[in-house]
Amino acid sequence: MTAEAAFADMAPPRPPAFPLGASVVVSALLHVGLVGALLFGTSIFHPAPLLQPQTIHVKLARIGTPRDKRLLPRRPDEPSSRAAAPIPLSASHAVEVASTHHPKLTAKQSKSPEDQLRNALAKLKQQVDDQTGDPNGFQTGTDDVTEGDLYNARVVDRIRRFYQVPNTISQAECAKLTADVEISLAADGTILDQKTQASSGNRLFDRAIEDAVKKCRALPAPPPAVAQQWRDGVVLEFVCGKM
Amino acid sequence: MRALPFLAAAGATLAASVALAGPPKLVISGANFQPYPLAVAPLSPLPGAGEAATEIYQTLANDLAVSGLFDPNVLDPKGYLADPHEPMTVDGIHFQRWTDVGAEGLVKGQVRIAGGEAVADFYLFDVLAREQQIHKSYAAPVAGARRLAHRFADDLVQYFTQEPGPFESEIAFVKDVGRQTKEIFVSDWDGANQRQITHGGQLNLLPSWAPDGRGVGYTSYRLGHPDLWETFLPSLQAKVISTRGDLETGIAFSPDGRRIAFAMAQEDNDQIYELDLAGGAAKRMTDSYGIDASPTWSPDGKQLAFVSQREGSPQIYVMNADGSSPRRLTYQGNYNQTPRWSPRGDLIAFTARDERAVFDLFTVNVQTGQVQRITQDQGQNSDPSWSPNGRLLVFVSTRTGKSELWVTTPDGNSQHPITHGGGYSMPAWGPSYRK
Repeated sequence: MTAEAAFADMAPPRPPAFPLGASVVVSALLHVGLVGALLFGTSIFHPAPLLQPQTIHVKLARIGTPRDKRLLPRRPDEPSSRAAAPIPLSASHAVEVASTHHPKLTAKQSKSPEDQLRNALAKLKQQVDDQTGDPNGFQTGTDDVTEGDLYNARVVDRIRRFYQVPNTISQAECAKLTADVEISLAADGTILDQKTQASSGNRLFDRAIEDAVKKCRALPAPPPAVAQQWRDGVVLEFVCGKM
Repeated sequence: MRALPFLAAAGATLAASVALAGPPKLVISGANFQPYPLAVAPLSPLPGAGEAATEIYQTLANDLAVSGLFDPNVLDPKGYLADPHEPMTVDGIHFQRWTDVGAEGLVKGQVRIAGGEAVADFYLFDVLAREQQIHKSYAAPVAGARRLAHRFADDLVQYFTQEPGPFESEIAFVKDVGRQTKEIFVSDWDGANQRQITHGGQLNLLPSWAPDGRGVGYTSYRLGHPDLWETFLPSLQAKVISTRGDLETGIAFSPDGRRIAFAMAQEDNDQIYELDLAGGAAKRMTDSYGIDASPTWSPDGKQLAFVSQREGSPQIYVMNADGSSPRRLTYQGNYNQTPRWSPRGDLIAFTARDERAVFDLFTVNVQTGQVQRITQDQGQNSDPSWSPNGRLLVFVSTRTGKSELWVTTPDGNSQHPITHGGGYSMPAWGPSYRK
């Protein structure tokens, strides 16, 4: 050992080759890289999610068989004790999910991400079918109607919710009753004005349809193409019976 | 293209209207029906008329509740605190209070005793329009004060429906009065004021009203075998109509009151016969190997419905009044009986035993054959009979454990008992007439 080396051993320690800040940055970069590698690896070794549109056919099957037509009918309003009994509805019984890849799936079989996605879609479909629907939607769909027709139907749909007449009006008289009410709308759907154009001759019926319009308060905002038409006035012809 | 019926209709109507340069038109059809929100304030009694006022009010409230026309939540006096001192005039009534409880119509009244009679003034107000619609004043002996309620209830039904009300009519029915003894009784439609009209001490069954309400026909064993009899009202004089066959049952007067249809067994073969009450021989209307029974006339008198076993099980059939063109009407169930043709002509009510071996009430549409259930899961229910305006049915039910008479709307949504104590059967709702 030289005297210089011995002296060096006795000297105070040198400062580190890299400053502390640089070490922290390097460490952070290494962690980011490690996490990225893990994520990338996961995507390699697992199937990619379904990104392309693929039709999944969902069929709802109600448990049981239709009532024998030779039997006398039952009333829909079963006693509360019976009505409260839950209808068994499980993925394996009530919802049959069918596709070209998976003719029939059960809860136990659906473990892969693809299966989970299919199951989730099936459940979503079931939930949608169980609901009464979007208050502004239509059961039969809207894929082949114009914007104006669509709006008209939305107006009819909304007013019909409030279209209630007293049952003191007999079915026979109801079949004869019609009345016209003209309304005008603001651009936001607010009913600006309503007036009876043609009375039915039945005071209770006339009042019922006036109430139906009033209870709406506002209708959906008309699309620009028909907004002026609705501002100028549209006649609502109320027919008591079914057409 | 997917079906969008109302949408297409609306669109078509709109387009047509635009073409005519008038305001566009949207068609909204298919109204939803709901009971009319009518409130009935307790009647105000003048001094000495408290008991009569209470009886009239309770009778009126019951009539309106059973009618099925009015909202029971608004009819229920627990839903509001009526000011007993509120006047009977438009200017004095606090209409906003009645609006707040959901009423659109308001009945008020006052009862007083004058000259030994109960005098009732009834008013109907339109709460929203704040107008008086009806004012009626009636008088009756104090003992029959409840009749005033029935009369005003009929007025209300007439006002709201433009049809006569059923509340002044009566019902006939069979009641057990002793061992092996059943007698015919008559009462107000709600089971009150019961009067026994047969006193044979035997079996008296299957009452049926003459269309003018002045007599009740029935099957009686008072001569030792089942014959057809009629008791006239109010004299209670009875006379035999027919003693021809081994068993005569199910008398039904034609709507004009000149003929009767009935079932008669000869040599163990029950068939439908028709008899002119002015005289003559009974004419056989059916000819089948199975039992034919329980005839009921269509309201125009041109057809008869009846029960027949000609195809195995008892089913409802319809034929012309001369016996021609019989056709089977019911194909559901295997034990259908007691048909009763609605005064409106469109429906026939009947009793049927379902697959659970329970008897319930049903209706069948005469034109379409569509069967609808009225009662369900509430004991045994049988023997329907229509009110004269066709808006109600009286029937027998064992849901309380005893055989009682009940009244229901044809849709079965409003059912009320009208008797208590048991032993009631075979009701027949009488015609509408004013005493």
